[in-house]
Amino acid sequence: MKRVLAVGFIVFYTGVLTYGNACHFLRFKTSSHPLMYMIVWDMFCGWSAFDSRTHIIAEGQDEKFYDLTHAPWGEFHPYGYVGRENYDQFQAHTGTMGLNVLKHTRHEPIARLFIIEECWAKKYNLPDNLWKMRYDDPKDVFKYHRKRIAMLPDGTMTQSYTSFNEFHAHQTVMDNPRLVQQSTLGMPLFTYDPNDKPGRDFLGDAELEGNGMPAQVLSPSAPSGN
Amino acid sequence: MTETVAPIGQPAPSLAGEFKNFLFAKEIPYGLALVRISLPLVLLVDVVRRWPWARELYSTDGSPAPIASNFGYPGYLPEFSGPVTVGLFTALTLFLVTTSVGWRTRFSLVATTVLYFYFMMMDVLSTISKYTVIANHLLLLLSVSACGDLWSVDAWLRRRRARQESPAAALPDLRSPIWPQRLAQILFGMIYFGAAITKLHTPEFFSGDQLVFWMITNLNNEHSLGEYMSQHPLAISVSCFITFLWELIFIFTIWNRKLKWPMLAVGTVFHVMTVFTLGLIIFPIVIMAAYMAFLDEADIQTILNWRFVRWLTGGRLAVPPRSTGEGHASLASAWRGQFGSMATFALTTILVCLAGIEAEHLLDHYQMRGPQGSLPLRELTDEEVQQLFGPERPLRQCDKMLAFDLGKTLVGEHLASFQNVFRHGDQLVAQVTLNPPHEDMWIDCVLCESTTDDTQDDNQLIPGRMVSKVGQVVLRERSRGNFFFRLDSALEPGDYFMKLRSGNEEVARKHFVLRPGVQAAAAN
Repeated sequence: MKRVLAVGFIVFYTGVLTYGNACHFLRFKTSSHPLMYMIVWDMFCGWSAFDSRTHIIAEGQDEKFYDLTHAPWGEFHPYGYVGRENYDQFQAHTGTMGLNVLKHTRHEPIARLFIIEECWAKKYNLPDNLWKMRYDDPKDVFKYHRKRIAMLPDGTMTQSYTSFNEFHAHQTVMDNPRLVQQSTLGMPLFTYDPNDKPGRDFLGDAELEGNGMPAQVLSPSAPSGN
Repeated sequence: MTETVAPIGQPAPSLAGEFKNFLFAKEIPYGLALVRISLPLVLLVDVVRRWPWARELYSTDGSPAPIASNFGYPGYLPEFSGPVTVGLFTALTLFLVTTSVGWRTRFSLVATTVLYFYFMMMDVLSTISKYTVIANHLLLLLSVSACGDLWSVDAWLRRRRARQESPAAALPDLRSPIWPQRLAQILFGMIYFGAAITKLHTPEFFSGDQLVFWMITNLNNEHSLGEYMSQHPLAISVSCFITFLWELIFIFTIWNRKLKWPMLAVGTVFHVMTVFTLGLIIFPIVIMAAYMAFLDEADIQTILNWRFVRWLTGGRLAVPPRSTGEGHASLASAWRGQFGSMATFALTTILVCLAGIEAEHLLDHYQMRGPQGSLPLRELTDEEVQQLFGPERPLRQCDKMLAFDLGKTLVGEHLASFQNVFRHGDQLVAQVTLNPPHEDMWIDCVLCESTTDDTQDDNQLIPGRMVSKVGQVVLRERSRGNFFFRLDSALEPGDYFMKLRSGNEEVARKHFVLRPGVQAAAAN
């Protein structure tokens, strides 16, 4: 009996590991279930050229702004020297973190919460001595700020925007007027996107309205402007 | 030293027999016992650091970030209140300790596996990572192994009971089927194979660009060597290929006795290097602890027979325990002992958990019970507000560029070395490395004479009259552009500049010196 159980466990375990690698190799259902994270070994899924930090900001009803990123009781640095919010690539949980800080602090009534992404080219992370070794130009860091999420203090998300990297990746393609013009052809008057929740107060990916085209490059005469 | 070895003179075992031997041969589980002792100690570093934050990271009184939400499964696991979460987290801490010392080993391992899995799944931001997943797999495999039979409190108690009953009794048989250890080894083979697949899916990995970006990312701990190495992209690209090959062949070579040690040595060097190049600390230590699963009984016996180890242990561990089948305490005595041990264990667990809950309450994580109640928020200054909410700026041209280098020889897509001194007759290669994402770009590379900057007191050299210009399109999917210049005798020896322009804007410049050719210099 013990041997049968052992064989069963061996077959099951090696089967699960093989399934994970097969899915990973074929890029099949790798995100279909949380447990797939336990068996898909994608330890190097890509690093961008821009470093980023996340800022969680609360706007009071008298238009004062408060820092929710650094909670007054301290900040947990899980893997180095930056806070937990900086590991939320998809900004799926930073809003909740801000609400938790609000819940446990003294403050005026809050009107809105914002998640702001701060980005800069990673080459500026080099220490000065290494910079001088390779670059003849002065180290001129510039930090970009991009609004990612706006939400109400009850947790309702009112605006959501793509990340700095996604936005600029889109821009690289969409600076082509021919593509922009072609994307607006044959656009239906009424569109249905099953991924968007209904409601006019929610601006989901505002710059990607209409067939994935950045809104700011769409002509105002496009059907969506009617 | 496996038991099932074909005696001399008899035919070699069949494939099925070998397979059976591979999984079910009986060995003393030295390797897994070492993993059982060391792995929980490594994980304790993480767990103890997170204990004061357990309420905030995992409970309904904080901001848990379940990984299941990211996969579209909200509410996949239950969320508990602050005190319950702290109690469970305290229990996890205790069970890691009891696992390491081997007290109620099987129960401790099962409980640790379950609790570690739960807390890992509850925090995608600051708890779960691939090393915690690897550790969880190992804890599961240890749970089904006999790793507690050796070097543990359980083993000591069992021996003591047996000796109390019969002082002349021999030591109990410690050999058990080897399959849990084999599964741990297969796990590592699969992990490295999966990691190789990932790299196969990421072509940028082989150019070294992805690793360069990781090495200059300030997200993990300090990694000065990584920052230094990021300035040598060719070396990184070569090491990327070596890593890929090693990961791919690991599962096929690790079973060969001759190749096992070189493969593990390369793995050790690779993981240790991630400390200095990528700022990973716990990950490589977890792997080092787990590598002990590759030590079989013969390896351990060899190590125990080393002169230094014999001197250290007084030779006590060098003799393997004999399998006699005797030496067990009687059933009644064993049950009495088990009950006493279980009761003590349960009582300790309850007391430690209650103490943990009370201590966390007294620590008042959110500092809500101060003289003025909860703490106030920090108001942002006007400058900070303007910076954060200012209009979004387009990308500067210089931010689309990672580096601008000069050299003579291309190896693959990299310059063999960066140079700033050239001779007549040399071919100068000016290479621009771009930051993704960038659009299709027209880039000009301009060779300029140098002149002195009259506006500065130190007569600094600056680019002067343009000598030559080469332009090309760098498509959005390309990360490098190369510009070739033949430095012939039409150019006077002296100082020159190479300027990089995009959108009629200077993006970067590089100073270099041109000297006479070797033959011309010798003729003079």
